[in-house]
Amino acid sequence: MKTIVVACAGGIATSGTVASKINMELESRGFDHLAKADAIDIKSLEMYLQGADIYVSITPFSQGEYNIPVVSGIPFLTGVGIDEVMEQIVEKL
Amino acid sequence: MQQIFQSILDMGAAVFLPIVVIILGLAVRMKLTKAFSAGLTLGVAFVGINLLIGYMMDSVGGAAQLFVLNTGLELNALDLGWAPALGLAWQWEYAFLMFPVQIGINIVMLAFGWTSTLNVDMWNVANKIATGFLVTFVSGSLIIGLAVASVQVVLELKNADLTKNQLHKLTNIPGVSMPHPMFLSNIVFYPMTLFLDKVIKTKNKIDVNELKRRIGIFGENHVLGFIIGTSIGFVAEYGIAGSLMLGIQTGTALTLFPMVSKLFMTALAPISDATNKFIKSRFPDRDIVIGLDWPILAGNNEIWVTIIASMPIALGMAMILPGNTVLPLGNLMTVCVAAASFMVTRGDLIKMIIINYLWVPIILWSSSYFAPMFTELAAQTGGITNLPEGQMLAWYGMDITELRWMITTAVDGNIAGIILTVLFIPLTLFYFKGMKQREEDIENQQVEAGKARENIA
Repeated sequence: MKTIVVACAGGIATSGTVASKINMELESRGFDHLAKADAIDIKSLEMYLQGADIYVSITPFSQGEYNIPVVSGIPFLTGVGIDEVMEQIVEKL
Repeated sequence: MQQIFQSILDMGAAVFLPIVVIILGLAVRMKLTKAFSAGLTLGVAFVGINLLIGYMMDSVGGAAQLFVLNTGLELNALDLGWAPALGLAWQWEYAFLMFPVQIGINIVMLAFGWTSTLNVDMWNVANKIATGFLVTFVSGSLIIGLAVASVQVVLELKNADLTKNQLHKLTNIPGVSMPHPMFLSNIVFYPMTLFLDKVIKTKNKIDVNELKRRIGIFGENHVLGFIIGTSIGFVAEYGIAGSLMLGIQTGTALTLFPMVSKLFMTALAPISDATNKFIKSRFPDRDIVIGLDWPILAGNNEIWVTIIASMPIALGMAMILPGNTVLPLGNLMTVCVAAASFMVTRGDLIKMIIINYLWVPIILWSSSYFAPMFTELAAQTGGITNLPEGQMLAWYGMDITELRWMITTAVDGNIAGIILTVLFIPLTLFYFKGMKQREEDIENQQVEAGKARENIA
């Protein structure tokens, strides 16, 4: 079981929404036995990244900035481009 | 009929709102099992948040009483932070009315072309609930409460429209805007910024990322909770072991608040998803901008540095400011002024810090004013009735605290509040005009950049 972390400023609203949607998408694609998304507080990001496999960022980022793969969480908020970003996530599972 | 309705309301938010969510879920064609699970999750979130508030008031609240006794400072209201405060707001008996209010106003404004923003941020419906509750509490009229909350919805959408190019430039995310209420504080911060722009001409270069790396640890919930909790313990004369334990307990409450609160989103996400798809399908040929919560800005470390730099000032000022009753704790990391001032000053750290420092007394006074109301809300809806005599709970650093203070005192008949509310109208127009100019400037820049590229080609 891999861990996908989604961070926002409080680990509640934005990240909670994105994490829920990722979990719904994983389920509808039949990958929910492989990974689970969890919302975390960005202030403690470094602590949580140690136990994570994929980081979903809702702020601008550059690849290689973290030790694990990063994908954008914005599509889950706007509803545009969810399939593409889900492909990126599934590829890394 | 009314009797049945009232008896359902009387079962309490933790029973009543899950029923609403299950019905809503079925209405937007969720499967029964999913809708049932979402509803129950919401009930679990309510009971969980109340459990934590009770725990925090038991552990830290008791020590805070001794803190007051030993220091002679009248800090009787303990700041819980935004997650539990909005968690309580969700449990106000008329909270569920705010979904149709926000979604309805948004649809009407989209239909008439008065906005291009579709606000999909369901968590901050609670911020309209908070306004509705506070105004209703003071005025005694649910209609006035809902009316003021409706005005807030309209202003949020207009402000989101008038800052979307600026947001695009800052985040590089196309097609989004920010209808979060905190940015309405910029109506007040905008003239302050214009003044500061005249006084401070140069934008200084400070490496905020390095600064954030060094001081960021103080912003982590468990660390901050431990430091403040232990300090309160020492002043309360708990001894070393007792103070350290209180520090751990405070860190526990502050760490668990978000963990429980995110259950709200687990419950609401499927429903907001279905609602958004429904609305978007009604406006297929329109350019709709998606209104999001503020954390898409959270990568800008100017905001975090400003927040952390404001913490010692907030604590110090709380001790000495006459008329203040609030001990800042859960929301010592106050986002709302920092993130709003980031937008209006265009990320100028020094000006952001000046505005944040100037706002500390305003936040302290207004949160002292609202503390009895939140205490009453906690007693009524959260069942938090075990507070020691005179102990209150508060929300330090509430979003648009100055505007809520203004409007609640105005509906209460306070002359100063009424005058400020009247002055607020031209100030709002002035601010919107300024934002419109900024938006056009960015558009023109983009057009010129496009032309320059064509010329090269």
